[in-house]
Amino acid sequence: ALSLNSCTKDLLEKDPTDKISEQNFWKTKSDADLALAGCYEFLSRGYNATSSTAARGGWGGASMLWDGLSDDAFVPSSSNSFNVISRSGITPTTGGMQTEGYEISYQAIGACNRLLANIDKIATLSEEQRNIYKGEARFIRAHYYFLLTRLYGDVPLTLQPLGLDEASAMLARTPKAAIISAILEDLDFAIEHLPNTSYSGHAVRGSALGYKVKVLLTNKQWDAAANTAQIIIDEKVFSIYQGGYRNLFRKPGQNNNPEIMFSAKFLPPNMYSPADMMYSYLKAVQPLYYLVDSYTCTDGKPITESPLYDPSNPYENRDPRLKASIIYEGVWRGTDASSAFDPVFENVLGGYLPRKYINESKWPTSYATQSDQDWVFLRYADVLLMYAEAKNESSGPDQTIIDALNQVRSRSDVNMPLFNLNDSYSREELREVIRQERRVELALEGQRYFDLKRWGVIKEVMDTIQDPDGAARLFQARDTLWPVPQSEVDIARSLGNEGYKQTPGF
Amino acid sequence: NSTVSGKVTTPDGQTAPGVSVRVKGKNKGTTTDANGLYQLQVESQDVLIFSQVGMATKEATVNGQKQVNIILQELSNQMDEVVVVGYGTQKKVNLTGAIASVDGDVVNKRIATNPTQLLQGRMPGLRVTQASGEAGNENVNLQVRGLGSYGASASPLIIVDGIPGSLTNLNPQAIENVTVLKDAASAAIYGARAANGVILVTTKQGKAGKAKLTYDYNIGITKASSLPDFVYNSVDYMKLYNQAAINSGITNSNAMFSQEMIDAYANATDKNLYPDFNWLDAVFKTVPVQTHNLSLSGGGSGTTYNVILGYVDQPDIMVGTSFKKYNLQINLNAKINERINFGSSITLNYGDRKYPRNGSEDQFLSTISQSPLYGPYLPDGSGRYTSRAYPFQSPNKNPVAVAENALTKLNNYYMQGNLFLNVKLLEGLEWRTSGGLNYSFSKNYTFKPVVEQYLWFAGPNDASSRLLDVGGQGLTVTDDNNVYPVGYTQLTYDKSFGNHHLKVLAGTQVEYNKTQMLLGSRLQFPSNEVPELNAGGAGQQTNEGVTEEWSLRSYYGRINYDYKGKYLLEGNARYDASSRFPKDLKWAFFPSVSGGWRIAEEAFYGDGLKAVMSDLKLRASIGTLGNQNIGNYPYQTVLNSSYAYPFEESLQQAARQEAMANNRIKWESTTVVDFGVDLGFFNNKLIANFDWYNKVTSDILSSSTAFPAYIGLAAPTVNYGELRNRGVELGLQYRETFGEVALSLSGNIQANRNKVIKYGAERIQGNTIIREGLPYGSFYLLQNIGIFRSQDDITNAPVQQIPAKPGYLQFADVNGDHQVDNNDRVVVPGAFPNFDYSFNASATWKNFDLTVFLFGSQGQKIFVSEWGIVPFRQGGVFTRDWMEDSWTPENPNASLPIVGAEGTPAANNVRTASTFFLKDASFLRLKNVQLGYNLPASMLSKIGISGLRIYFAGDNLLTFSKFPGLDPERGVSSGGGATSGRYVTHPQNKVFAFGTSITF
Repeated sequence: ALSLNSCTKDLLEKDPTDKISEQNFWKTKSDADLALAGCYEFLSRGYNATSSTAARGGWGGASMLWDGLSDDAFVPSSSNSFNVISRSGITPTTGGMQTEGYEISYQAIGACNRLLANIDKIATLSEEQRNIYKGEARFIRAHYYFLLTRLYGDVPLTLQPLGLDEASAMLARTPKAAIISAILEDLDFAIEHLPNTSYSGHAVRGSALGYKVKVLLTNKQWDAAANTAQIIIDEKVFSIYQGGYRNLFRKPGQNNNPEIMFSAKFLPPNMYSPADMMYSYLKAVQPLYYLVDSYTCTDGKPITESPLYDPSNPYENRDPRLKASIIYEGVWRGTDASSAFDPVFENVLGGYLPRKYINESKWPTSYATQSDQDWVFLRYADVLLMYAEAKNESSGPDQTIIDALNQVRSRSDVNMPLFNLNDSYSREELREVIRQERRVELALEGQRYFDLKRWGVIKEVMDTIQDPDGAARLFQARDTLWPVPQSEVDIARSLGNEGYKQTPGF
Repeated sequence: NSTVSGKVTTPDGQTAPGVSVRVKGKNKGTTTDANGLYQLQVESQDVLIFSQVGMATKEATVNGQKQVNIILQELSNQMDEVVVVGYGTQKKVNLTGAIASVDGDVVNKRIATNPTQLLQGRMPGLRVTQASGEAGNENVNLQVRGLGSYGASASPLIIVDGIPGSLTNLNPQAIENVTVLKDAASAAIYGARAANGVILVTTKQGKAGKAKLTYDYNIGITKASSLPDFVYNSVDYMKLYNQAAINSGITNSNAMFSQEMIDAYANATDKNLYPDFNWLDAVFKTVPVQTHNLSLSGGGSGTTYNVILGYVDQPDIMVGTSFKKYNLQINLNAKINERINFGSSITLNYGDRKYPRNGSEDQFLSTISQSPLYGPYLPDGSGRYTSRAYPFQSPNKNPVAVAENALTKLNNYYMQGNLFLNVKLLEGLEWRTSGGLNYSFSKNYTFKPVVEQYLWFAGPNDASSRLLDVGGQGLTVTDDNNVYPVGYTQLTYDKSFGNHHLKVLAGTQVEYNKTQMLLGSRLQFPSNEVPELNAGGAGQQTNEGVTEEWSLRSYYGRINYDYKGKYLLEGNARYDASSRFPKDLKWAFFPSVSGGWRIAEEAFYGDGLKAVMSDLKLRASIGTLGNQNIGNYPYQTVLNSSYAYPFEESLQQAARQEAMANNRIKWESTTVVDFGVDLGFFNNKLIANFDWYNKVTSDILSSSTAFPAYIGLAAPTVNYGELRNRGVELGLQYRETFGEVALSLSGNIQANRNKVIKYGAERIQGNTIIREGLPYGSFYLLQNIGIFRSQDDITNAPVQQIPAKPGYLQFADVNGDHQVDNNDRVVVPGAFPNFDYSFNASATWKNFDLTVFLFGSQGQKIFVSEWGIVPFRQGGVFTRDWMEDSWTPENPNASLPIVGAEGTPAANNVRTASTFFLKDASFLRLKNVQLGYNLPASMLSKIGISGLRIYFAGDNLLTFSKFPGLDPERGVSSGGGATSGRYVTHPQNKVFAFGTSITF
């Protein structure tokens, strides 16, 4: 009987063989490293090139799709949620990024929360070490909460792991201001505890400072934004990269790059980016002529004014960042003439493809193309431009603003004419100069859509935009904040969670 | 006085020796000889009575005839007919539970590779839904008495020769009998896994006697049961395409067909270069399906054997897909001595299946997305594949190129076998031990080649326009294997004490299951010709491996008691433990009781009544069953460590929790109450079985609970919710012989009503809603109330979700807030059929036999979308009605809305989830007809053949349905509720078969 019993017990006790049991976790430094990588891994996800096609994007190396929501680019595939959203078709059941933006962000936040709640159990770590883990997890958490507020406005706020209890299921949509405070607290913790070094993959003090500038700027706290940017400038850990503008977006230029402050990292073959496959092969994002035309001539004047502009040779004498960012008819994508771009043959109605984030050594591209380009979320040029913008809004034009802009324009291979305060800009004029500089410097980096929204001009801009197939964009004011997934509203209603309602207008 | 002679045969043409032939009212008679022949002196008006044990007695008036030939029917429902029940057998008359059964001979009138589909319509209470006609992937869903659970699996347990096994992997010819245990009383003996019913399959055993060798051959000419009427005229296509673009506000002339292009096709003399290409014809073919079966059976001195070797070669009606099935069934029985009996049955099956990686549905929609302007290969004869005619077109992948280059090869090896040992310990006491093993191994090669596609008009040196979309590149090889040993041992005691009869069974069973998967993949290959991993570059390779286990331990028992065979009582119980539940919640007890009263055996049941209603039995049962068919590790909190992140130039492994665990889960349980009546009329020529049941599933194990996404984890499995299935089943059988014609008619009808009793918060999932009081997963859609005929209509109507234009569909503002939005969705009935029914007729005359089988389903609706039903999905073709009667300013009263270009508001308006695309999927179909002829033995014996049968069979010959274009019979929703999804499904097959069977 004894042996039968023990046999029964063994027979009926089955635990997973290929997963870690939580009971044995949170014991060693190695566990902390596993968990932290589990938080970062969300940055690089969103596209599984081995099993999917062009339907998804917007995450990691596929972040350029965000520009398809702006006047800079167009997402041609109507099966892509970015195409639907760009044409004012967003509804609570659109799916794609409309639901993923919410769900994946909270998965990442949950992973960070669990690390933060458990890291103190690992006795072998010193307090200083623990604070670094915490700082990084809080930084990642801030990254995702920031995305949530920019997409949906008010969202549930939790800084603790949620459970099976009723309270966990009954969170309200917290006002955005409270979430911004939480984001800033997280970033301040990271600023205090993360090492003040250059960036190589783990978030550092500068990453957190830069994000803080962006959060403050987005929420129109101009003084604080300018002051925080000033700290980064003064600490001189980061600088404008002089190894070539295009190399900011390709390996090996991205390795130990002094300008990059935070990015999603890739390392083929097991952790590769879809960049070349997505932008070159699938042509999932196509720049619009509005962006192309916004690049000035080398004299710094717009094409409508500059004598250097030749309509029959429109890409000559232009800001060098145009050729570095955009492919037009005839441009070689590989190393020989067979790779020359033919928009009609390739059915690119607008005539342009991205060059930023494209590596010509990968040509010809296919589904199998594995890219190693890190997606840059934050770089020093952005900080300088944010400083200029915040400072101009807070105290008006001054030499520090001009210096910041000129530092961006004087990158060795860009080398555009410098601005001069003696040209006596008004605050409004300088605002336009800064916005224009931001557009071309950060073109196709997933920024423009959020910039247009925070400037409050998205409707007036987008209502004038027509896609290459002739369809008008039109922008419904309600779309400034997206609807949360319908299922989330249905669940809240069914649980009687009064504090959780659909985004106004939907 | 004269002499009458004749021959007595059985319905299947066998001679009937030893039949008693008497003259009615006279003491005169004889018996038939070994050849079934008799001879008798009679008077002209004499009546002959033919009788034999086990056969229905038959009378015939001589009426001056010299020869009277008679066919004797076997008695149905006769006293000692036995049916298979859990862990044993039972006399049919003594049954108290709800059981239906069918013989292999009956289901094998149809010809199928997968025996599961043959059960359709044969047993009231079992609903069989065949999702598609795709070779080797029929995807047959079995449901006993409605949808029993929405969390745990709702499939019935399949027992083959006493051990859990696979029906799909059997050779249909090897099946002797199939029995369905429907109520708790009959199924409780399988407690742990019986909540959704149990299907018991018995394979054919050998019969003692001379060795009998039989060869069967069958060839079936197979084609699609139905395909839509698409417009494949290029000019018509281009004109409507342009119309759709203009309707949608598209102005860029590069995005539509120019007049020049249209003229080129309209005025073409070279139809090779400017074709009206019919893509359905290129992808759907008429194919021959061939079946061979060779069987050898016989036995002597206590040992019997039955061996069947089967082979099916089934090319699919869609190019690229094919299936070959090789099957060997070996059944052996040996009587060692008077007390010990030993035997085994073994199935070896090998399936060789090829199919496009994305399946037939993807292949079908790719076909529809092609326009008639071009064919699959360039017109220059170079053999290059076409991507499209003009660059602005955006069809899906070329399906012919996929079929010729990008197939998955799936080789599946399957073995199920068992051994048993029966020992008669004492008189009435039997000990049976059986052990079985199921083992499956499958190897999947998915190679994604690099295939260039060119523009139709490309010159010889033009570059390819795009690669064939095969979802990536490279080779993935996956090995899956499953080991599933089961063993049980039991004692049965069977004893009569005067008028009391007692039968007791007690046993214990252990099951263990282990699944393993190993995957390897490489990306870069030097060519498309070497599809093995080592041919690929080692630089880009990945691998995966998974192992999962579960186990069950059980104790079970049954007591049968009857008094004088009139009052029947049965109790069943099972005590089960599952590895899937936490320590203190592993064990659960599932009891049942049932009773029967054979009223017709009572003394008060008069002979007068018996002459009409020859049998009457009442049955009742109640009991509880369990279900644990959920994921393997639902209560353990685990971290997935298969991720990584590169902080520097190497990967750091990552781990995180992905799903919420719940360490308090327990068994799901189902309580069934059943009342039944079994009736026989006119000496049991007409038999009726009626059942009413109420089946309630509670503590449903589900992870589809209201679990907000902001928690950041997949929802946990919880015990919550209650479903009710209530219904009736009626089966009728009638047998009669008229002279030399033997006739058998049977009909079944089953009606089930599903209702969510407890779910908590209602849940909307896509186009369906789960709400207490409604059938599970009812349709939840906007209501289409017509088409906006004019601007005035729009002005007077509530604001629509997509700003309306004339020609758009109008949706109802149900809540009256003058705005149509998702709050205006309404519940629409039609998630499940109201009833299913079937009718079977068979007749024999001399050496001919004819069977006709009809199957129907009434009341189900299906929401269909996308390719084939919505015009211009991916630029695809449209059905004729869109060309002839869609809204235009000139045709404001059209029956269909305006045609729009993909991705535009006009197209999105039509595609709105509404009642517009909710289609009635009721159907009645002539499922099968078989006409056979047995050549006379006298003719065959000369050439050494003892039997030769030839037959013609037709499957799915006629279908009556309102469903548009395609087959109304399609798969059940994976979520369990209403069926909502793509219009395109591999249609069922229409088969014209010819076959022959030779016995030596």
